[in-house]
Amino acid sequence: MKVASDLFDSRIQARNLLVELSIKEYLQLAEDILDKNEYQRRRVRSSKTVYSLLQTDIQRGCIIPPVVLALTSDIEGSYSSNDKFNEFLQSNKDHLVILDGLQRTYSMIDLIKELNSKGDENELKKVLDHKIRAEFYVGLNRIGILYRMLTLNTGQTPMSLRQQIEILYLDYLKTPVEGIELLRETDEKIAKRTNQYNFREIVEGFNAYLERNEFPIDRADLLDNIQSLEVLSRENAQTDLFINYLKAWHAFVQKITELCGEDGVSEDFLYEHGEGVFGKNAQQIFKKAQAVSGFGASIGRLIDFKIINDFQDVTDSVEKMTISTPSSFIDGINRNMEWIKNNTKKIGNAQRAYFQYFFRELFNPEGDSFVKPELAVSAAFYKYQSQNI
Amino acid sequence: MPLYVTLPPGIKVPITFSMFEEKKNCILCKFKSQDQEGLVEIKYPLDIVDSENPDEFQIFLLVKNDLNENDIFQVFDKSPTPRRIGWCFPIQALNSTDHSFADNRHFLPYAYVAANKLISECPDNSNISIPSIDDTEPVEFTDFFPDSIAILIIHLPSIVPDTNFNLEKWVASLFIHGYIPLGTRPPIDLIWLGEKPEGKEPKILLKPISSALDISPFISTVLTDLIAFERNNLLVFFYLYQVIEFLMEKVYLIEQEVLIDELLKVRNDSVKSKDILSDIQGLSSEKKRINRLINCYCKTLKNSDYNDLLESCNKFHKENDDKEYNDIGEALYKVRNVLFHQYRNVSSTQQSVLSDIIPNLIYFVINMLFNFSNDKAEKRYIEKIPESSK
Repeated sequence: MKVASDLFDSRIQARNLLVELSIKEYLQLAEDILDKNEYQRRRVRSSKTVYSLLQTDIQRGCIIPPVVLALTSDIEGSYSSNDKFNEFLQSNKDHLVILDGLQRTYSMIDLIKELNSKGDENELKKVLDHKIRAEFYVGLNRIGILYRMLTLNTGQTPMSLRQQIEILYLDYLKTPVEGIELLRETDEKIAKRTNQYNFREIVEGFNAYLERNEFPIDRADLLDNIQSLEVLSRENAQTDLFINYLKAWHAFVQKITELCGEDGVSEDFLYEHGEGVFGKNAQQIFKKAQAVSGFGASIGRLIDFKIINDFQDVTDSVEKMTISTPSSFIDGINRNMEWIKNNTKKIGNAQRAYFQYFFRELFNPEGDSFVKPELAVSAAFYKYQSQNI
Repeated sequence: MPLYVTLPPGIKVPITFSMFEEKKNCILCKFKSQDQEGLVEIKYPLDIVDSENPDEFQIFLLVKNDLNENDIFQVFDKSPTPRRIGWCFPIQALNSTDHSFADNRHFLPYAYVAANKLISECPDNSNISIPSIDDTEPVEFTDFFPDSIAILIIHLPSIVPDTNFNLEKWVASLFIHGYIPLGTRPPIDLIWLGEKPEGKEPKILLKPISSALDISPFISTVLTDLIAFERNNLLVFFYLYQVIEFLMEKVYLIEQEVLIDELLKVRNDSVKSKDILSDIQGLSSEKKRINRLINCYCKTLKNSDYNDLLESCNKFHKENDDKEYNDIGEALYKVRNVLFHQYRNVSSTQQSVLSDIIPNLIYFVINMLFNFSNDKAEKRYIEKIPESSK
């Protein structure tokens, strides 16, 4: 491995190293990334033409376009010289992500597999020794990586913002953030405790914040809001936005659960509407993706309207929240959810929109429902109906 | 035909069902083109409850205005002992677990069969999209079909006595609830709303049109291609009156056959011949035929089936300083005459009354299609014929 160039990218405040390395060296790194990172493991489509062309090209000694990688987290140590870069990479390879070149990487892996199965030792050695170029971004913050991922993503198989956030924040699954645990559905663990959240839903909420939109991303329009990410990457220079978002959300869930205590949906409500209610208690209601997406989008909008400054303002407001009759608050939300269920084309989207209004009412210091969840329930419903019916 | 997807750079390929992947809540479908092959994931978040024999089911694509995700209904045949013959639900119900039936063990097998059949047996229709795929997100059924599409899935063995489900026989009944078969017209142009099933456990009760009527594409064309998409009340009245004309023609043909037979039998009796000839003459009058259609051939219609229509027709006549009619046939025939022959004199108030007449007339005409029977009419002539002539 040879560092051919080491430049500082002052736009995203990170080093960019152009490295020359053999396919063997690259695949040792890449296979590890693909093994560990399920979000980079997706490969649905294969193109026989492109595959065989690339295969033939590599065998003929063609220089393929550089792949681009980044280190995702606070990395241990630094490299004193470019000679030590390989060592530095090896000790931090758990934090590597492939930003651009996933399909090329798969093609290289497939080619090696094929040569292995053919037992063509000479050809295999020739390909493994073949040199390629890779760019490594080192030391940029996560929003910066996201920005770079989006700007690089101009190829035929771009990733959605949600996918990219998943890749980017995957390591929080391993390490709790200030006591908050993120769980993956595939871990067969259910986010039951107040401090546990489903990773995918938290990512959706953050995505809603970045997009200022509570709806799940439409496949058709992959992200091009690079402008807003540009602002965010600057905003995020000193702090980790994701952590602040997560902490604010956790503070809200903790507080509302505490305010509602043991109270849940009333017997009368259950008698009238049956067991299939939206949420029987505060925790069930606010652990749903609809609520967290509504939260993310509403906070984004309140910041855009300059009504609040940041997530810290939300965390501060949470402390002031009061509820006088928890069961009627919970009945109120369920009643609104029931109405939405029976009267909308896409229930999930409509519920997200409702929660977006709910949190906007709840955290708007200029509004009548500020820090009053019971008032926010009906104000949000009125707002939802007036905007959508 | 199968569903199609578009591969970069714009190649359209058919997909075939491969398997359900539980971990991802997706149905995996294979595709193969000249130079590409792979898998497409179609989002399917509902639990899989397999049905024993998917061949026993048939699906139909319907369109409905203002279709909500929770508009999921069991479909019963409206017989003296109603049986469940299937389900009707929006395409969005396959895409989400937010609706009330996501855990319903009776609904889930139908939903899964429907999803599979949508992939493999989808009708060729210009309103079905061919979405582009990439390696990012799974496609959704709503990427192929507009939001206003509903699926009617019928369990064929439940249709007794025969297991043949001819949609045209049931179109009028679906139309009442606002559902029409997906045709070539864009669903977004649909005007007709229909009545949503109501009650604690709302169901769609399907009733076939009368067995005395041949299954004619004319009826479904008028209802689902014309009336359902028409804003202009005059045109809607015209189309509905065409259905009445269609029924009156049936009346004419039935009675003509009976009368000619009887005429031949009494050809040596001039008195009886004159009676029958007079009847034949009466048959040529449209006013009398509409009367006979309603009062003899649709005798099972109850007053409640047309009281609202009679009232709105009389309101229309009152605006014209005309008398009040007690007979629905006469009242309707008079409206027809004014609209077809004196439209130039129709006032704006009458135009607005016409918008009251239209929904009532729609339900009245559909009720005639359900209740049409020639048994009684034939008897009438048989009764009139003297014993000596039989």
